[in-house]
Amino acid sequence: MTSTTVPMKLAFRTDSGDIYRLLFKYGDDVRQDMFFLHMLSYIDYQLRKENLDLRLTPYRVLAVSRKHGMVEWVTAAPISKIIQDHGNIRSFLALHNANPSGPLGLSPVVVDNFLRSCGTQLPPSVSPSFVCQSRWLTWNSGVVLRCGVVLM
Amino acid sequence: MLAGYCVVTYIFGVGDRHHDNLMLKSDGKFIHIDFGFCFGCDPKPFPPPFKLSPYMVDAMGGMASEHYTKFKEYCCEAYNRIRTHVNTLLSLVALMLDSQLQSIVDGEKCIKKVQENCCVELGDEEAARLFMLLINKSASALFAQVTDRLHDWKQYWFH
Repeated sequence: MTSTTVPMKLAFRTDSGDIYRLLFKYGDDVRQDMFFLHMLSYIDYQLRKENLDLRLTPYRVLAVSRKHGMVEWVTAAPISKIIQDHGNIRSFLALHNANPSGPLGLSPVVVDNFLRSCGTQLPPSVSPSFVCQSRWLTWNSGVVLRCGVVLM
Repeated sequence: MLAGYCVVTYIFGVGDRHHDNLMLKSDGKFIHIDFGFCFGCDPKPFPPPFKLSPYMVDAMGGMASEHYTKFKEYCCEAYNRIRTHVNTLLSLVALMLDSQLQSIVDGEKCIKKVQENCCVELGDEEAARLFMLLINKSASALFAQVTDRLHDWKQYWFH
């Protein structure tokens, strides 16, 4: 994806030997993103406690100044690119999760993910710090590596 | 799409929702990114209540499909459940009023916006009915489709 501020993609090796990817942004004020994602993880946490899983993805953001910040790398493709490359959303999903007997020719889990929209099965934390959360990092990098394709 | 983000972005009045800010994982999970415009701020005029583009409705099998009905049920349930936490959310927003974040220009207006969007005075059934109306309004937001197209052209010419 093009960006006028040219963010940097960094990859760190964690204690457990996995890779944690993040985007270092210069010139963007990510404090507001950080605030919103805290709200999102709070809502996600509360609703999961009430047994409603909306599959949200409260990715991590850490602002280090008004102009610098780090954003967790999420392996996903922007809708604009999906439409450009595949014509519509369903053919993109069918590419990865085709299941002729399922709803809309897709696997039922994927359709449900799409409807509820979005998220991880992690305990969301309201803490802005993502250091010292190696268990979570392990899980996350597993997903990143499994997904493989980075479309951003 | 998707129920969770529709409700949350509506409550916080998140703006600037175009197709570059919406992402999809290969397992069908939908993600919004870039929350530079909150509490009703939007760089484009006449934003819809939340983002629900024809592509997303199409991916659910169209407006007549059972998946679309299920999506609306999820939305209403999520909306009502989040409404029960409105006081905590408002206190969290109130804590941020002096932070000089770009969208928090007038603190009282932000609080009011969240309060209004949560419709605290309505009962569960009325709120669900209201959210159904909002879904229909967003799904048929013609102006948003025009601005989307313009945005795509702009991206095409300038990048």
